[in-house]
Amino acid sequence: MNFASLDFVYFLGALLPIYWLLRSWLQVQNALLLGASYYFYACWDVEFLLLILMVTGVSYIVAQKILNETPRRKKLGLIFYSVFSLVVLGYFKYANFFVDQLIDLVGLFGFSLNKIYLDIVLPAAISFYIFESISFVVGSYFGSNARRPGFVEYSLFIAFFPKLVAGPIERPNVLLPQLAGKRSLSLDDVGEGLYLILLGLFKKVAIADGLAPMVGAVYDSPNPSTAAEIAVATLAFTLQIYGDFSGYSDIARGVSRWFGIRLSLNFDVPYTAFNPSEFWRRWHMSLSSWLRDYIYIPLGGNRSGESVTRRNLMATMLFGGLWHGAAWNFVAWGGYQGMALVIHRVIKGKLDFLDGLCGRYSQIVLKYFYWCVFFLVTCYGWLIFRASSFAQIQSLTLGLLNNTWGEFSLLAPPVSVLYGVPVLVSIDILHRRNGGELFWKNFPSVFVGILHAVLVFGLFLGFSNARSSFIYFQF
Amino acid sequence: MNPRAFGWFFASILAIDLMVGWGVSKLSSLGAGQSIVRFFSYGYSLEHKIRTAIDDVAYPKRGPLHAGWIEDLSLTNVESTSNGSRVPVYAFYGQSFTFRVAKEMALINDAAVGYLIGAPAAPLGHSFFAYKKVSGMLGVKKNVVGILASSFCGFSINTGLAFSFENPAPYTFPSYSIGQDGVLIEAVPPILGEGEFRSAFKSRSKEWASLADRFKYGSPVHDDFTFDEGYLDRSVLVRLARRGVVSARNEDLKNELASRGVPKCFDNSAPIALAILKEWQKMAKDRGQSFFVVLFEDRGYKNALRKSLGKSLENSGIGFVVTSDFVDPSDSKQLEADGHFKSAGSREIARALLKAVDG
Repeated sequence: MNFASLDFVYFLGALLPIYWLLRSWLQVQNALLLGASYYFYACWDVEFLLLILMVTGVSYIVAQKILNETPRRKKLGLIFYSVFSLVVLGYFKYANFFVDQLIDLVGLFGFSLNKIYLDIVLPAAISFYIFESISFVVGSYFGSNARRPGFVEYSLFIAFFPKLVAGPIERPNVLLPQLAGKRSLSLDDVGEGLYLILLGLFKKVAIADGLAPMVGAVYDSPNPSTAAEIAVATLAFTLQIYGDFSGYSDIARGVSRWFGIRLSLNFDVPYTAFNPSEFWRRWHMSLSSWLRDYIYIPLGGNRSGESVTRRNLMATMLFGGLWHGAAWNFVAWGGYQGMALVIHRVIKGKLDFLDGLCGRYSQIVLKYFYWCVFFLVTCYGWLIFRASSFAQIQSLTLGLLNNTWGEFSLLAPPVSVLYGVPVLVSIDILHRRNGGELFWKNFPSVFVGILHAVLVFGLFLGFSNARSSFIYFQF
Repeated sequence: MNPRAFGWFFASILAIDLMVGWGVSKLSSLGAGQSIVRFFSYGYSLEHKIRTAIDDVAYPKRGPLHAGWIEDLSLTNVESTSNGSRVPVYAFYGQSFTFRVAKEMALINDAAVGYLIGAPAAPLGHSFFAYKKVSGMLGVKKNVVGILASSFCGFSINTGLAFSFENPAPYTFPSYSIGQDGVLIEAVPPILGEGEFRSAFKSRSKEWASLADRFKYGSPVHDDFTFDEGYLDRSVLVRLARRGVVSARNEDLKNELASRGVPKCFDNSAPIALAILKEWQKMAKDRGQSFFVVLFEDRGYKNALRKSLGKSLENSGIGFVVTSDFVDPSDSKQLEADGHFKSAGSREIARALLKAVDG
C-alpha cells in the first residue's frame, strides 16, 4: 500500500475516525493501531509478518530479561540479541552477496565453487525495524529506556505503520512515551500534518517521479551516455532521491500527527549544507544519529586522537553504506562519504583560517563557493550510490571525464519538475532561514494559503508522471 | 492552517486554475507555446476532443480523427511505401510501429514496398477486419501484421478511443470473442466509416450512444468522468487530474501481472489473438498468400507478447519476429520521446523481417 495511492486514502479514512473514537481507551486504541500497522505491512509482505513478530517478540523478551540481571548476564543478553538481530539482517539482506564474494574469492585462487543461489527475498522494512529493536535492547542494557513498555506498546513502537517501511528510525525514548500516554489532536496538529503530507506528496509525485525516467535513461541503459547526459542524470538523481526519501518522511510525519504522534525530523534541508559534517546532521538524521550512537561512539568517537577518529568515521560510514544494501557500490558510497568527512576534518582549520583573512563580502562569496564545491561532491556520491556495480561507477566516471559534452539526447523533464524544483528550492531556503519546516506559521494567512495552493497545483501537474516506488523501500 | 488561510487557499487555487486556463487559451489563440498548450489540453474529455476535432476547419488532413476507418479504404486513398516506380508486393497491417518498419524495408530493398493499412495503435481486431475487407482489392501476395503490446488487450472494445487518451482516434472495428464451441465470434459495430461517425456524433444518434456506452462501460480505464464533455472541461486542474486518472488506470492494468510476469489481461487476450491469427493464416493460404507476424513489444512490455503468443505461434507454424530481440523497450535511449523505436531499431527489425519472409 503506497502512501501516494487511493488505497491508502481509504485505509486512513477508515482508521482515523475509529482511532479517535477510542481515545478514552488507550490500550484499545494502541491495539487498533497495531492491528492496522500489521495490516499495512501485510499489504507489502504478508509472508514476512511472522518475521517482524518474531523480531519484536525476541527483542522484547531479551530486553525485559536483562533489566534486572547481573552485569554478566546482561552482557550475555545484549550479545545474544546483537548476534541474533545481525544474523537475521545478514541472512535476508547479505547472504547472496557473501556467497557471491566467496565464489569470486575462491575463483581468484584458481578454484571454482558451483554457483549456489539462495532464493532469498528481502523482507520490507527489515533494516529499519532491526535497528529500532537494537536501540531498545541496548537501552534496556544501559537502563536508559525511560520506561518499561507493555508488549502491545512495544510492538507498536516497532510496527507503527507511517514509519515502518522507510523510517524515520525511531528511538525508544522518543516514541514509547507518546504511545504510553493519551494522545490529543488539535487544529494545529491537523494543519501541520496536512502541510507535511502535501509537501511530501509534492516532492514525490511532482519531482521524484518526474525525474525517474531521465535518471533511468542513463543509469539503466546498456548504451553509453555522453558526459552531459551523465551529469544531468546525476543531478536529476540528486533531486530525485531527496524528493523521494524526504517526501516519504514528510508524509510519514504528517500522517503521524493526525494520530497525535510526533515522529523525529529526518531531513533538515540537507542540500543547504556547506560541508559533509553539516550534511550528515541534516540527511537521514535518524540513521546518522543511530550510527553515531551505536557504532561511532562505541568505537571511541573522537576521544582517542585524530587518527583513531578518522578510522572511526570511515568505519561508521562504511557500515552505513553497507546498511543500504548488499552491493559494493553502497560500500563504496559509504567509503566516499567517510573520506569526505575525514578530508573536511583535515582541511577545516585551513578553511577557517582562510575565512579569517577575508572581508565580510569575500566571506559570503567563499561560503557559497564552498557550498557549490560540496554540492558537486554530494552529486558525485549519488552517482556511486545509484550505479549498479563498480564497473558502472567506473564507466560513468570515465564518461564524465572523457566523453563529449555537446551531445545530449535525454528527454526534457516534465512540466511538474520544471515547476516543482524552483518551488522546492524556495521552500527549502525559507525553511533554513526562518526557523524550520513550519516556517510558514510565522507568515500571514495569505502567504499560507498561496503556499498550499502552489503545492497542490504542483501535485496536479505531477499526476500524469509514471509512478515509481519509493527508493528507500528497497533497503 | 487557520480558517482565514483556508479561505486564501481556496481563492488561490481558483485563481491559479483561472489564470493558467486564461494563459493557455491566449497562447492557443496566438498560435504560440504549442507544447504548453498541448500539455494542458491533454486532459480534456474524450467527447470534447472529438467535438473540437470535428468542428475545427483547420484540422490536419492526416489527423487521428481521419485515421483507421476501414469502410472508407479504397485503392485511391490507401497509403503505400512505393514512390510510384514499384508495384506494392506487401500489405502491412497494424499501426505506426509496423509502418516504420515497412518504410525501412523499402529503404533496404526497393522491391519490398507495400500498402499500409492501419490506424493509431490499431489492435489485431482492426487489422484482421481490414484484411478481410481490402485484401481482395489490393492483390498482393505477402501479408505482414504488426501486433502492438500496448493495444493487445481489449478484444471486447471496438474503437481506437481506448488506446490514446491524449490524441483520440475514434475509428471503429469489430470486437472479438471465442464462443463455447471454440469458434471466433465477430461483433461488427454500427458505425464503420468516418462520414457515418461524424453525422452520428453531431446528431448524438442512438448508434453514437450505443458506441459510447459500450466503450465507457466495457473499458477498464474509461468512464463518464474521462469520456463525457461538460463544465469540468473548463478547469485546468480537472483536466490535469483526468489525465492522471487515465494514466494511473493504464499503469495499473499493465502492472497487474499474471504468474508468468505478463499483464493479466494478456492471458485473456492471447486465446482470442491466436484464434484470429490461425483464421487469418488459413484465409491467406486459401488465397495463395503468405502471412507473417511482428510482435511489437513497446515500452513497458519487454517479452510480454513473446511469453503470451510465441510458443503458440511456433506450434501453429505461423512465422513471426519479436522486436525485443532488436530493440530493448526498457532502454529509453532506443526509443523516441513518444515511445516509438528509433529508426536504427526499426531498421534492424526490417532486416530480420525481410530475411524471414523472403528467406
